[in-house]
Amino acid sequence: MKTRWLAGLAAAAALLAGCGRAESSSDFYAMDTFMSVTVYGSKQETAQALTTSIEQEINALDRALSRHRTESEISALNAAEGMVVTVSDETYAAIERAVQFAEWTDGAYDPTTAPLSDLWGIGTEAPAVPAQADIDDALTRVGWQNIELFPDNRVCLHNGAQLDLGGIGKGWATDKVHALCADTLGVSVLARLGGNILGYGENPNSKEGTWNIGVADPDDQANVVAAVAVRDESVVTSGDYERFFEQDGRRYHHIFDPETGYPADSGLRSVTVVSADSTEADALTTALFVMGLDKGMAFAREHELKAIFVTSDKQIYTSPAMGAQYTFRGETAGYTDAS
Amino acid sequence: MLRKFGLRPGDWAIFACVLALAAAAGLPFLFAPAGALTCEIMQDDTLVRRVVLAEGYHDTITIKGETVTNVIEIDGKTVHFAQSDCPDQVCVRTGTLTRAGQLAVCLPNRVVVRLIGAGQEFDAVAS
Repeated sequence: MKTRWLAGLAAAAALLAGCGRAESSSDFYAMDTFMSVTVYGSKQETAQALTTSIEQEINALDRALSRHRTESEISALNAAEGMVVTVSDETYAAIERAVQFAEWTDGAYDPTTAPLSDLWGIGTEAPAVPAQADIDDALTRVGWQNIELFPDNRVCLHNGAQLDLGGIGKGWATDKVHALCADTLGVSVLARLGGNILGYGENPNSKEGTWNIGVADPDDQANVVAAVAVRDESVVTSGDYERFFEQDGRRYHHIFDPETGYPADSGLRSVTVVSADSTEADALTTALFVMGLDKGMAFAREHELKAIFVTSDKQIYTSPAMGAQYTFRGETAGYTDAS
Repeated sequence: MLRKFGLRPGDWAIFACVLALAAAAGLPFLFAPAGALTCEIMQDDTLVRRVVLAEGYHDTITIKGETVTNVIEIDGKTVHFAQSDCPDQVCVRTGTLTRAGQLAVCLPNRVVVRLIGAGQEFDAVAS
């Protein structure tokens, strides 16, 4: 009888031999974008549990950090009309980092450009170039210096400023996903949080074990102009091609220059930053885009950032720190590798 | 001989069942075209269409949501959002999908079009 059971178990093991790698995937919508997470592991329960945890974590962050959700802490802060508001540890930490990035980039990244986004209406049904007087008025409420942080998680917005953490929100969420992955033994994860891609652990579908992430062609986003091999890093891209409108033959996109109140006219189509710190990468893609190629490249060199710049005249530049992780793939689409 | 291993004639029935189960599990892989490029269209959690792409195949799929309508065209081994009345037009601007791993999304209508298949060159595209 015992031998018979052993034989049965051996047969069952043979049946399952091809199923040694467990995989769990989830597609969902959060933070105003489409997200997709795939977890690979040796146990199905572990992969499934991590997938669920990731989705729950991101949804919780969305509820706390979105300025478009009336129940969020950011909405409460924006509605406080200059009064001091106490927020959670999580929200306070996110605001603190946003302010640090704004200071570091000398305002090229600024989490208070919401009045400009609302005024221009990009992505809405009626986007339009506003009157200069309206832009000037909106600019009086723009400026990261209007955010005042106090001890004990207290925050205050001055001069009618409105806080928008959309510029780092997905990066913040990506870092949370990264931390959840690191707390789970033996998993590999590919997380696509809108434009933020995280490749964690060893890619089971690659000989090298790295994740091959494409950088979209600004003129044809289904195709790529560059590729980056990563492991335990995120790849973040910001460009002028996703949300924009055209008026009188000119393109107006969603990345605003906080100095002028207009969409940044820096000669760039997109900026990609690769980093283990996705919040930083998120803020810096915006900042480097606003700075433009020369200033942005100098900033990237000075701080040893891994950055890819795609220019309006179809040149692709990379910072020295990018090194061999980068592969040029834009030849067919008419791009030139200028790095 | 069977007695030597403690096996009885009825045990062969168990082995036969296990082998049949293994064969059944492998059948779909045996007859599916290797690396077949497949288009999957989802709206929220609902599968709208899943089709293996082939030269000469044409289809137009209209997906109506609460406020937005998408028109998706399959043309041979390619697929794209041909029309959408969403405000941002991101789905239409994504362009034509031709390779496994590519996807296009209409956020307002919560429609995702993706190509699945072997030989996926990129794990994801940052855009």
